[in-house]
Amino acid sequence: MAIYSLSLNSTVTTTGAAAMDMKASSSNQPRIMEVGLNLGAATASTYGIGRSGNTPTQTSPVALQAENPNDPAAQSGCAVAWSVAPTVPTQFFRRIALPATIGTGIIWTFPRGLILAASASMLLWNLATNSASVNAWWVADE
Amino acid sequence: MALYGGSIFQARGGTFNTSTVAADLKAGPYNATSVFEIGVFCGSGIQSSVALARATAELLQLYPSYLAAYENGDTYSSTALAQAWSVTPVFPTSHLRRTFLTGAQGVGIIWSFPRGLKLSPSNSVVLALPSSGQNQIGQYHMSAEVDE
Repeated sequence: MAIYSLSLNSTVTTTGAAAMDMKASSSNQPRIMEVGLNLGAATASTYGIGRSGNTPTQTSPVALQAENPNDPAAQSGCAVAWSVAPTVPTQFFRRIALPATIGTGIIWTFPRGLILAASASMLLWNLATNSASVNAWWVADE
Repeated sequence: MALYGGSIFQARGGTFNTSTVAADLKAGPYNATSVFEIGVFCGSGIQSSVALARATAELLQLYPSYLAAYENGDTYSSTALAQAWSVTPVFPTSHLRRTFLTGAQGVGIIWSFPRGLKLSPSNSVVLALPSSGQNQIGQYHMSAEVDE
């Protein structure tokens, strides 16, 4: 098992939609160790982290990067657009309401890992009409 | 293996250009380094967007600032911080971490890597300034802790 991470910027503001996801490949079950996010536009925003209700199809996913360059390439990837959109999680592991201030954010850690099943997605979900710009990063053990 | 730490301060009149590299942390030529912590804090009230990424090529540092040992008696560090290079670094497009910093002196972030972010010999991790519609830092403090 090795540690991988990636950070992307999302401009998806739509309430009731995913701003970003991390998706496992069909042959791995990564452990999500950390998720961080912060706002790039001064809009009060509410986010949740939860498992997608369906199996979305990512558009132009970006693979996580190895934190040790000697480790093999990551199998998991993140995306901010989908051809088959994610559906709402039935339950959120974490929720946060952020004030309308650029730079506010949160870092969630999962010391034992939040396990993602093969081909499944973990979502950063818009629980309101959110900031026009949000940075988020994902750290995974796969 | 021993722990080393260091920091640099950069001040520029006005703002940095976007899509540029502001600083790097480079491993020495003969040893790999594990980065355990990187901190970035604003020294002036300019809102900014910053990212942490691996350099796309070896960077030739000018005036490197070598890290200091946490314990007296440990050998000198070969890992160094720098904010100028003989060849301008290429802006990396894939980032390990990104954050926005609001326009207030003292705001910042500390990223930690419990298992270590590994740098191969002569490789760098850079503080990059993405073009995200934000003004860039006029002054900043950057710190690092490594095990080499």
